Amino acid sequence: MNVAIKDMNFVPKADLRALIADAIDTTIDKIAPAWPLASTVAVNPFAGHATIRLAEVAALHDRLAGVAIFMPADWYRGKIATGEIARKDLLSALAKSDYTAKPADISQLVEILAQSSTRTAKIPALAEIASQATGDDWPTIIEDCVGRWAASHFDTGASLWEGGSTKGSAWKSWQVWAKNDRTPEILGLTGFRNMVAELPDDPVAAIEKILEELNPSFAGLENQFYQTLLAINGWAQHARYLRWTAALNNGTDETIIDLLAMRLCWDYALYRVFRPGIEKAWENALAELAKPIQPSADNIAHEIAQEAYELGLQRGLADKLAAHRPTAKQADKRPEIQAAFCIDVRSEVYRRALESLSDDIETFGFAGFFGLPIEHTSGPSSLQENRLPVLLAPGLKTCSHEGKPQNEFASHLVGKTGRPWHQVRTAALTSFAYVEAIGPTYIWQLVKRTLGISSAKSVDTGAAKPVFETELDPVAKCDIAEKVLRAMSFTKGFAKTVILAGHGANVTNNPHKSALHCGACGGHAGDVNARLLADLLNDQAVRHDLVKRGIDIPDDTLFIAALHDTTTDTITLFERDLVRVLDTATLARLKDVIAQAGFLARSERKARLPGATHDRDIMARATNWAETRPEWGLAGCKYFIAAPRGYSAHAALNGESFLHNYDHHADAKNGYPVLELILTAPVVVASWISLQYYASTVAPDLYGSGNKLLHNVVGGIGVYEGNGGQLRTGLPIQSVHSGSDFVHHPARLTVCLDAPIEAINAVLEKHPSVRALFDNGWLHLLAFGPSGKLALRYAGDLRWEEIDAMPPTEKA
Amino acid sequence: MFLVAALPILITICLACSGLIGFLGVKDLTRSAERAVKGVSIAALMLAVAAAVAFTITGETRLDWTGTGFGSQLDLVSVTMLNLVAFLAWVILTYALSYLRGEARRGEFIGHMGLTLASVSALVQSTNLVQLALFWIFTSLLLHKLLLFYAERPAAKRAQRKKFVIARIGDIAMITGIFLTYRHFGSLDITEIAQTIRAGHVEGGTGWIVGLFAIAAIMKSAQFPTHGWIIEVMETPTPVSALLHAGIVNAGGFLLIRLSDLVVTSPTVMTVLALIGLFTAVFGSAVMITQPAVKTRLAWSTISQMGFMILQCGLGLFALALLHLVAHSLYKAYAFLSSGGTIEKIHGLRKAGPRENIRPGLLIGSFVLGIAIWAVTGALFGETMTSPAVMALSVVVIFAANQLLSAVLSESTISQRMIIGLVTSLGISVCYFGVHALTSHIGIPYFPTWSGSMVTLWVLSLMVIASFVSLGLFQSYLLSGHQPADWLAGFYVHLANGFYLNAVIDRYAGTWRITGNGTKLSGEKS
Repeated sequence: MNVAIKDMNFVPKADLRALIADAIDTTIDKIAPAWPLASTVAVNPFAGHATIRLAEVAALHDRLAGVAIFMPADWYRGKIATGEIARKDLLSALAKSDYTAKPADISQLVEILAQSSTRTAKIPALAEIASQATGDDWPTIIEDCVGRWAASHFDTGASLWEGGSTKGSAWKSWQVWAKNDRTPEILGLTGFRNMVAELPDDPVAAIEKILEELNPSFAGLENQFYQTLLAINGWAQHARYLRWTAALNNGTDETIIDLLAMRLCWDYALYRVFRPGIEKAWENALAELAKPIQPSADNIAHEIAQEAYELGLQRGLADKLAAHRPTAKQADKRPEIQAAFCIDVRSEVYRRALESLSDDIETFGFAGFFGLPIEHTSGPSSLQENRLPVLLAPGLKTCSHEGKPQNEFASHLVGKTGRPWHQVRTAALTSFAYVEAIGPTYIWQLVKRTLGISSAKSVDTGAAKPVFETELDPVAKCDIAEKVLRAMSFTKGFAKTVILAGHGANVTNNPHKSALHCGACGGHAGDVNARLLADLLNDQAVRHDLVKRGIDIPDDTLFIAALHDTTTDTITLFERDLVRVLDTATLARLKDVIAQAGFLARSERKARLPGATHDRDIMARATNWAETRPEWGLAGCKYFIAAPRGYSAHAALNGESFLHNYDHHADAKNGYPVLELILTAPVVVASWISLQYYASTVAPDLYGSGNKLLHNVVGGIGVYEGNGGQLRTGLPIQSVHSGSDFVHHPARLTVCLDAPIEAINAVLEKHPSVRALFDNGWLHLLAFGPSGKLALRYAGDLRWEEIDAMPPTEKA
Repeated sequence: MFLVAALPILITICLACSGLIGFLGVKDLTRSAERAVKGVSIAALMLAVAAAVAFTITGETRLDWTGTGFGSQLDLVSVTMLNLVAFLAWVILTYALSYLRGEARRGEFIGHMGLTLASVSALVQSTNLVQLALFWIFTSLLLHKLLLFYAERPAAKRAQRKKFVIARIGDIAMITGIFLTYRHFGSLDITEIAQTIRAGHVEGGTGWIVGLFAIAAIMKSAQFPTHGWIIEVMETPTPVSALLHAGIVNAGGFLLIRLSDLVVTSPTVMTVLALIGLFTAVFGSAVMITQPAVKTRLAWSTISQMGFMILQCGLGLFALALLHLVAHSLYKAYAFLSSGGTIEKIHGLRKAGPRENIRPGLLIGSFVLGIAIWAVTGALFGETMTSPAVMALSVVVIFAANQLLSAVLSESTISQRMIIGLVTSLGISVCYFGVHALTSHIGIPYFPTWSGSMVTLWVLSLMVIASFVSLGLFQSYLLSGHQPADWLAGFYVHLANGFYLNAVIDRYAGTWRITGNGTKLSGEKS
């Protein structure tokens, strides 16, 4: 160590700063953002690792967090034994694997899996070393203390008194907190407050000062920092979210650096107090951190087994799509009803049900924000809701203003005094009066909730019609309409009635409600976007201009916005938005088919939902305040198909596939802008969803939010599991597990495109970040052949190979 | 008559059945078992309602469990408590059946829950002190099982250890108290003891007895400084928290109310109780407003509300304490069970449009109006005049009215703010005094009152007013939207940490010592 210190003494201070700053930057990028639960979206926790492969990321998690990011070895071994993971898939996966240290053959691979132990290969963190030495549970103590401060710092209105220093940076706020907090010293960290007081006001300078003592050779900084942030993963992910949204608005946010400095501070304090007992072990740990982290044989074997499992799923899909394929319908007949849904896997079940009712019903799939990147303000709210994919910055401002109510006094007295009453209920002193005056009325509330008779609605149908706030001239409106219709590959053959259905969940008392809403709408329900688009497409001026651009919408075509309630599979129509009157017969027919389709969809979903035997059981889930599994959300998602609906319409995909309508012939004329859009937006969003489910299933302790029965909503942004400590991000265990078995079987998403591979390659070449996802195995890519069957597999580096032998196992 | 007297014990049997059904279904609670659990809990509730109706018609009665000396009391207190317990049992059991679906040990959970509820129902109908103590301890031990439902969670164990020690100290105090009672009165029958006291056959010397029961009550109802455990027991499914905060924690207050005739014989102990309750109420609610995690905030709220209830007992306002107990239970059960909706609720509050800062003049004006509303409605219902203690406690109405008014005035989206503000603040005031008037009307003849010197009562009342006004003004300052002063930042940290009481206990109890080697986290079955 001494040698190292001397070496570093020759490094000029400026270079040292750059070294540290570099390591900080790299580390921050490895942490994925986590949106607050008010409007959360699925996030790929491995988004920062797109340039390396799963086994390499697994090695990092093994060594730095002691967390496995594969299913347990027994899971794979069981599937290999039963043949669910087929031998030939294992062989292909093994052959594909690029690692030099990969197993020689299948028997060796199985052998490695058999010997895989759950024993962690984690490099001990400093707090763990201190625990060993002192016998006190320092990692948990720190988690607890960090949680108490962070919860109050990031609070968005959960506590009445939000502390004195919410205006400053997180580092400043923590300094104030830590200079006052007696807890660490009571628990044995003497001199903690003074130590904090002596640290510089600048977090990076503080990190430098800490490192001079903690890691004087400045080696392995990236690993050290990553380990440090993983120890406060939830809060770090929240800070990363702040940075993400700041970047979308061309700003920057340094909160995550503050958190890094804050957590290092704890290590520093432990080190200063317990140095004699932990110095040696910490030196060893540092030496380990300084070495590059390589995947172990175990990691590699797991990756191969996982890959083989996914190859098997793909074969299953290919079989399904190839089997029973009907001959193409005559294209010239005008359908009676068309309905566009979000690509969300939950729509697949409903669309199939709807199509089964009549040959005259057609459905489409498109990202549920319907191409409108809006920032919406509802009512008098001062909050803007970004109802668009989180990858994009909003481009349009919209709002919905309520009209004047009939009796303003009464409606304001009942509807607008919520906040004052909340204050009286939760404030000191006044809560005593509240309890005695109002407490008895809670009998009624409890009866209502226990009987489940509170009103269940996913959306307020009476809510005022949304309008654009951004000034749009006719040309701009037409631009939007054209772009959206082309992106939907929906430029001709319009039916008389076209439903545009956004979707939203309908659940009660569920902190993760927004996770069940539309991800493409930024964790909101999709009603606003659907209503805006329907209105735009019903606009005569827009239609008039569209004709000049080659899109001729017949005069009798009406676009009707709708909201698909994914919990109960009911659909709400916004027919009252229409300027032109919808005739009653058509409306009755529409209501009839959506009711029938809803019943069919529920019958199919019933089998998968625990405790649901009757149709009414599913409806009751929406109002049951004790329901932890109201619906399965996107659990089970495995595939993404972008092709004409005819390619998949005949196959029951069990709500496992995203379905995007795409017609490459039409796209080719313009140079494949739609293909580019699909690969860069919906596919990436879908990959985030699939990897979120993957991570929450395989690593629930780190990337899942734990047990819903223990959730303790904190700060209005997230949940604790239990008393406090870590902010728990990701999906609850109840979202991926039925209690007896996993409902989501972890698989990376398989994207199936109907497009020429040259065109696909061109898009990948243009977008290296998207290409990285495919090249490093975070997504699989298959292409349909001219016959409409899956024919080609992307093999990385813009190379393609034939999918081996469409197996004749199924009768074709 | 016998049938009426048997209603309480039937309620207990029904609730016990719900537990037994749970245990029978340990492996797999079938749909019909679920229905059976709901069925017996509804039966229990209907029996409780029947008991209430019968009580209003026939008045007090009791059933002796032949040969045991134990029995079932049917009077105002037990009827109220039985209805509360049976109602909560129905709500919480129904909730738990859904909530724990898919959980491997659901049957066991329902089993323990049902037995706990049965035990509480047996506790509240006790005619005999030994019977009361027996079910008191039995309830605590069953709760112990529920709090350790996820026994593998280290945090659950840490909190449970604190709770266990406190509960056993309370048990010892109670048992000793019972022993001394027997020596003093020669009887363990609660009614008999009360009658002896009412007949005036006691010449002092009850201080120790009342003191010991008071200690048991304080331990049970999480009063300062023994409150630490209750803010750390969120490591178990939400229905347990609801049961604990809405049901079991009340037992301290129930004990004092049940033994009110005995309690009033020692004004000294009552004074101490009032002071502890007052301090806990103020301290607990001040900490509460700093808490960003909903269940933790609710736990601090429980501490303070229990403090308020103990304060009422200490001031000899037993009927109001019973009201507070019931009202708080209903409110808190709902608050815990619906705590999952907090995200939506807070988001809704944030969406409610901008808020305006209120001019100091208006702030003072709303305060004056608050006093006016309090004075008028209080006088209207004739309550403020009855006793200095009642008047002192009703000071909370001034602040509630004032705060509602000023909060409504700061809402920018409300039209006719002044009128709406006045209507709401008048509303809460009328509700408060109205409910009080009703409670007093029913309860006054039933309960004894403060029997110490009026001077002491006045001093206590003035202390209550002084504490409440200081807390109220401090809070108004915080809520006025002005940036708090620097020194407050430090005070905030101390407050948010509950003045480190748990940290100190942890340190000396060795709570943070590692027991096993390097096992942590994971509450999941895999």
